[in-house]
Amino acid sequence: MQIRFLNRIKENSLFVICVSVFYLVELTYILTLLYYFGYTSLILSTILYFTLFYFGFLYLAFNFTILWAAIKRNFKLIPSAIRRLMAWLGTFKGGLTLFCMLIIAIIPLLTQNAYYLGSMFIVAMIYTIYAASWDFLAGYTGQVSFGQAAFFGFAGYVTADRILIQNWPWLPSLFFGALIAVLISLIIGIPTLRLKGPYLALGTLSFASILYLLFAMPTILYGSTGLFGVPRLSENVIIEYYIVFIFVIISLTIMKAIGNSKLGTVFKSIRDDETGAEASGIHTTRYKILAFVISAFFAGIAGGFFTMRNTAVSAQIFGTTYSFYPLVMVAIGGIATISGAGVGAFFFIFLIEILRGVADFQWLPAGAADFLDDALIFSVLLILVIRFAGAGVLKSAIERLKNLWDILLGR
Amino acid sequence: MLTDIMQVLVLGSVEGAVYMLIAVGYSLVYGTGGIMNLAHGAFYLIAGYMLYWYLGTLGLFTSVVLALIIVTLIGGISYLALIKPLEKKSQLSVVMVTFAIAFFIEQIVKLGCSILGFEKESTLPNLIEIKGTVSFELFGTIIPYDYVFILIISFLIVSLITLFISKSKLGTSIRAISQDREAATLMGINADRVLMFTVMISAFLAGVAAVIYVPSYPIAPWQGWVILTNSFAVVILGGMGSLPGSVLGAFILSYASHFTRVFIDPAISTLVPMFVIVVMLALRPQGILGKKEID
Amino acid sequence: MLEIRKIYHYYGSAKALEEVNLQVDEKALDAVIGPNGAGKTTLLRVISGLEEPDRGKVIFLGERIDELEPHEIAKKGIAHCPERRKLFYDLSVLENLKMGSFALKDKKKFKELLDFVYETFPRLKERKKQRAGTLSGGEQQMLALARAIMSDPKLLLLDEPSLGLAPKVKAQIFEAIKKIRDEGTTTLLVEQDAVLALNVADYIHVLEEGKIEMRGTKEELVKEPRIKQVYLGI
Ligand SMILES: Nc1ncnc2c1ncn2[C@@H]1O[C@H](COP(=O)(O)OP(=O)(O)O)[C@@H](O)[C@H]1O
Ligand SMILES: [Mg+2]
Repeated sequence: MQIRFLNRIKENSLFVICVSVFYLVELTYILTLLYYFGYTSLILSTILYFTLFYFGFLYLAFNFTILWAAIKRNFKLIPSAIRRLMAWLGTFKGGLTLFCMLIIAIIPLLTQNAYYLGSMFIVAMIYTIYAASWDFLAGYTGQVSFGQAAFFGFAGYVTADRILIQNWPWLPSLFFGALIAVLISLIIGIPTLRLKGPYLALGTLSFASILYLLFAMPTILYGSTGLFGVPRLSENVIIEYYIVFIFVIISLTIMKAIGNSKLGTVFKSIRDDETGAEASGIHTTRYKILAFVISAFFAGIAGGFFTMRNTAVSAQIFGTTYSFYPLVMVAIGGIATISGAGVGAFFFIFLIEILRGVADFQWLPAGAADFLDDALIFSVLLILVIRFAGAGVLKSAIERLKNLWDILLGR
Repeated sequence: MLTDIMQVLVLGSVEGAVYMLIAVGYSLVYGTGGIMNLAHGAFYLIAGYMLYWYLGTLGLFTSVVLALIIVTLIGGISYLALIKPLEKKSQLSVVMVTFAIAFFIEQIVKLGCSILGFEKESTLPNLIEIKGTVSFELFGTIIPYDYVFILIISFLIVSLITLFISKSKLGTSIRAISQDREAATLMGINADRVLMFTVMISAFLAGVAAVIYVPSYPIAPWQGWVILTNSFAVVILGGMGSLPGSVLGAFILSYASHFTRVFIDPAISTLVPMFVIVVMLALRPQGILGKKEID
Repeated sequence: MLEIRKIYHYYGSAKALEEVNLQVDEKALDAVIGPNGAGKTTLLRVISGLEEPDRGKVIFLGERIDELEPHEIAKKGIAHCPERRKLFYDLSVLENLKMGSFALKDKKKFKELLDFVYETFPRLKERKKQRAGTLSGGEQQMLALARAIMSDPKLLLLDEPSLGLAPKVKAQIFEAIKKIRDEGTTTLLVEQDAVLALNVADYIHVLEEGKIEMRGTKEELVKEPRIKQVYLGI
């Protein structure tokens, strides 16, 4: 086992270079932390980072070959993939997706209102990536994370830290944040995903609630106020809009493509019958961890964007609310669809807006409007959807729409 | 030094007793029906808040009884209306719905505070306020009588529950279901109904924990999740579904986190439950006393 | 007493039972024999409600029971002694027996049944405080059988009671089965060991690939060349 593992590392000289660079960067990071925050933070960060990195890199090394083979295979498939994409755009669902994308793409031409563009559309797009990351894991492999906020938030903190304290540009900060999210996902993933049953749910939930307590402490980890004054992607909200838009398209395409690839088939076979998949020779733990890592990566990307959008990050980001959001969005949009996450996220944002509008109207009995809490309404919504419509609300609505479309076309 | 040790012992025992109540209920439901109830911390939360809301107007006795009755009913209703219908569908939706219930209860608690005009985070007056003798001194440490009361009540209740499960007919059928649910139904046992009882018992235990602990410890809406995390750590430490394991795990975890808090660092002490979960799952997923092999 | 009409059952798309008709008369001992995977266990599971048949009816004492829950069917007086025993291994022998009589309200009847069980299986009496998991294979099968009759059933379903037992123990178990029948309990026995089944049963149904291929008394069946060849190895 040891020897095989070492051989694999040797095979990937690229990988070794990555690891070395990473360690150097990290060493400087820890020294900076020591300089700024002193002793407690040093203990914490050393424990945290070194366990993370040792666990993380060992595991990445194991999985690197799988991932690399998948990437190589998918490169070869590009021409045929393009052909299939064109064919797909001709179908109802493909057309609908294209149509929605075009609408979102031209929104900035219709309104330059910074509130609509920034606080609604950009946030909805960020939530789209976030919810899709959750759906990727739950929908394809059947593993649920109730602490997705751990990756969202951690990446948010790291991104903010890189930009503010290290003066890095936003793009490497964003990816660095996502990479850290990947590493912490390994800490939870390795012990919990080895086991069958909802242990991941338990591990992620606990991890997020403990991060909440840790980051809320006044003296360590940037204190209870968190980090603020993070610059936005751009002064110009339209530029910001399109950057996030491009990231949404890329992220969702990648997740969807993995879902439709051979790797995705393996994930789904684990979801449908884990024991059976194991019996047919699939190393289920490894694939579950791979899916978890990918999910954490995209949650991290979303978290980075979210922090830059809000220009601040605090311990609140680890609250259960943020772990809860993707569940609601995916429940609305339909599980195992990835694009449903987008539908759910936009629906969610607009519903909040409408609810606030209702609250403004004051036609409700005096005072009642104050109690119209979004989170309350969404928790009821989630309970109802899980109980009565397992496949998601909008998925069946879209099916109906498709039938209607077929009838109109006389098919 | 001595006072430090006393602090660890006293606070550790009190918190351990409370976690014992919470974890025994959690473990009971998991052991019997394989239900991972993420709303368990929320049961604690709602009972604690009900006491907090009613105490001023209804008096101690009525508010305690009312809080316990309501939380037990909430447990039963959650099972009947949401968990049971989903159990036949998939394990995943059960876990998700309990998460949603927990989130819902948290919001209800916040809403209740704003409707009734209470602070969301608060401390309550101690339960026992006999004139002049609210506390006594032991080795230079002042110990409120409430702590003694907490210890007595929790051990009493856990003993009663253990007795009930090992001796009564319903208790035996709970154990039968936990070992082989299908065979139990062949004996004419209505497993759904028995499971409803276990969820109600577990909600009741969480309620008792809240009622005795909330007066000595600040309360906040996010606490449900911390309680839940700690119960995970306890049951993983002691062994999922093992009641003696839960008792043992509760005290180990509690002493460990108070020890780290007093002698090392409060920040590290926050990490103790997570550390326990990760290390136990990595090294011995069946827990200290668990014997069933988890694959 | 028990009547099964045109039962079909599928696991997913795999067929397990196809148009099975079967009737068991009051106080009779019927046996179903057939090779591994024929659908014998499925048949019993359908009767006791553990599986819902895709089509067909199960009628017990003139009443349709195929839509009832297993625990309701158990309360109607059908005791199912499942394949591989499925005891409550962490419960004591006595507790297992008590669980067996869970649906029984009559305290006096319970005493009588317990005496009957202890008389039939003295070994169980000796070990009544012991955990069921610590018993030997034969003792466990005795306990499973005893647990099933503790509910004072009108109909007893037995799924391969001889599975994995030494010949001497098998004989002991079948003695007990005969004794239970003589007490007046209607029994439907499922067995792979055709010789044993033929010797004990009044009427035998042959189930192959989900279909009843043949049925008759012992005398009728032993004349069939196919039975001789496949099941009796003559
Ligand atoms: N739970 C199940 N899921 C899928 N197929 C099953 C299941 N149980 C039994 N089968 C299939 O149904 C058929 C009948 O099985 P069974 O009733 O156990 O036969 P027998 O008891 O006669 O050996 C077999 O082909 C078996 O593989
Ligand atoms: Mg069988």
